[in-house]
This record gives sequence, C-alpha cells and structure tokens, in this order.
Amino acid sequence: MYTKMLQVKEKTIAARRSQIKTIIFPEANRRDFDELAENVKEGLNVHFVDDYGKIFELAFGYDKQED
Amino acid sequence: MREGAVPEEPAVASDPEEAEIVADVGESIENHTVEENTVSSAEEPKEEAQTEKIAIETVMIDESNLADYVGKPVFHAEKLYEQTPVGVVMGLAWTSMGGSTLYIETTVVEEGEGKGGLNITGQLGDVMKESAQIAHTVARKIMLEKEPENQFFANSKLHLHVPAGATPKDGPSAGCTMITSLLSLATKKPVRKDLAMTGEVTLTGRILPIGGVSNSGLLSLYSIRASLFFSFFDNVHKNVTGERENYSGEAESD
Repeated sequence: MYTKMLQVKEKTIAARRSQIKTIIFPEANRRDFDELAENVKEGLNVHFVDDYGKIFELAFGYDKQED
Repeated sequence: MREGAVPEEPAVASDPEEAEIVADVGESIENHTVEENTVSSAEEPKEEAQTEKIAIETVMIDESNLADYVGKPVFHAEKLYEQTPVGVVMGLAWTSMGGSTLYIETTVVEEGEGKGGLNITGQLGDVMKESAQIAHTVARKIMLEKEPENQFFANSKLHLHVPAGATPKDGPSAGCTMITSLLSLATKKPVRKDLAMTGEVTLTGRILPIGGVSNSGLLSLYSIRASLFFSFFDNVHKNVTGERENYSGEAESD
C-alpha cells in the first residue's frame, strides 16, 4: 500500500513539473490519489480508468468535446 | 589644440560628480546598514553587528542571475516536446530519484503487404519489452474494432523507442502509454495537449494499478530498516533502564 501511494504522489509531482494538465491513472489508484495533499492535487484534471477504451476517448476524443 | 581641450574640461569636471554619486551610494548603503544595525543591535551583540555592516550588500536575484549564486540547474526541463507529434505520448515513470516524465515514441520503419512488426529500443528491461509486445497486440485489436478496414498494423513495420537511450528502464506501467502511442500513429492523430498517463494494461485492455507488488525490493528495504530501528530502540531501552538500576543501586548504598 505504501509504495502505491508513493508512486502516485511522485508521478503526480513529476507531471506538475512538466506542466501537465490532464493525468490518467488506473481506477484502482483512486484512493491513493485522494489521500494526497491538496497542493499536489489542485489544478489537475485527473481521470481514473479501468479499461483502455476510456483512455482512447480521453486521448483522441478532444475534437468532439470542443465542438 | 583648443578643440582638443574642450572635451577635456567636462571630463575633468565630471570626475567629482561621479565621485559624489559614488559617495552618495556609499552613504545610502551606510545609512541602510546603520538602520539595520539599530534593529539588529537590540537583539545581537555589537561585535556581530559590526561584521554584518561589512557583509551587507543589496542583491537582486531573479531568473537572469540566479545561476551565478546557486549554480547551473542540476535537473533540466524534461519537456522534450511542446506539443507531442503523432506517435509520441508522455508517460509517468518512477525512479530511485522519485517521479519523472518520459516519452514513448513510435514511428513507421517501412510499409508493405504482411510486413507488420515491432522493433523496441531504449534500454528496456524484460518486463517493459513484454509490455511493448502486449501494447502492440492490444493496439491492433482496438484498431480492428474501431476501423476494421484499416490494415495499418498488419502492413507496417514499427519502431518503438523510449528516450533517453542511456537510462535503463523497466516496469509494466508504461503499457497504456505504449498503446496510445501506437494508436496515435495508426490514426495519424496527435494526442490531447498536456496529457500524461500511467498504468499496466492486460491483453484484454484492462488497466491494472501502479505500485503493486513489483517493488518488493523496496518493501524488503523498508522492513530491514524497521527491524534495525526496533533493535536499536530495544538496546537504548535496555541501556537506559540498566543505568537507572545502577544509579538507584548507588543511591541506596550511599
């Protein structure tokens, strides 16, 4: 459990450092992310997925959302 | 000769002006330090205040001269692409230095009937190589569902690379990033801007959590550290209680 939270935390911080706005995590890591400090979580658009189909929509479905 | 003398006069005259300006600056700094002294001398001894007077120098540090004071940046910006092109997707990695972003790049080597295949480079470990093979299969399956007439994966020899080439990498959590990279190439469409992802993918496209039992090495390290701590604590406890017994014994004999 400890490494799960540590990995989610470190990866989130790394994404922030690279000015990432949208992060996709596995659904099973949702509770690890929820336990992070607010200043790490804020301003990020985080999605939790359990099937690749959802990633496909998030990664390539940006035209539909903009229309 | 007279013409030559004209420019000399203001030059001579400007010297004291400059000197005055310098003196002004000196005074203003001194005034500043005196003010600082009055504040600091109330709290600290005068000797320290005097050394402070010499040391104080107003410095403006901003982005342009920051490197002069703290040295050149140790870690460089990890952002290789401002907008990732077709076939490139950002993943999130976990290293001994903490989290890090990485790119998965794929490109077409050659196209032709039945030439479908995948090359892998980037110092990848066994798990990550298998992960790439799985990604290739899953991406092909998804493409078959979305566009059944698209023969991209069947007829394209692909190359997948994970920069930087000198850094050894391993682990399954780049799986979903690899699939997305391959599908980006197949659909010839770049992914959403400022997107990063992480997660292991099974052959059927299910996403597994990150940071599971794979880091058993780290876990055992923590357990060793914990046992060391407790044995140390136990020793300290014995020593403290032992000393107390001795002390109380002496006290009784007196």
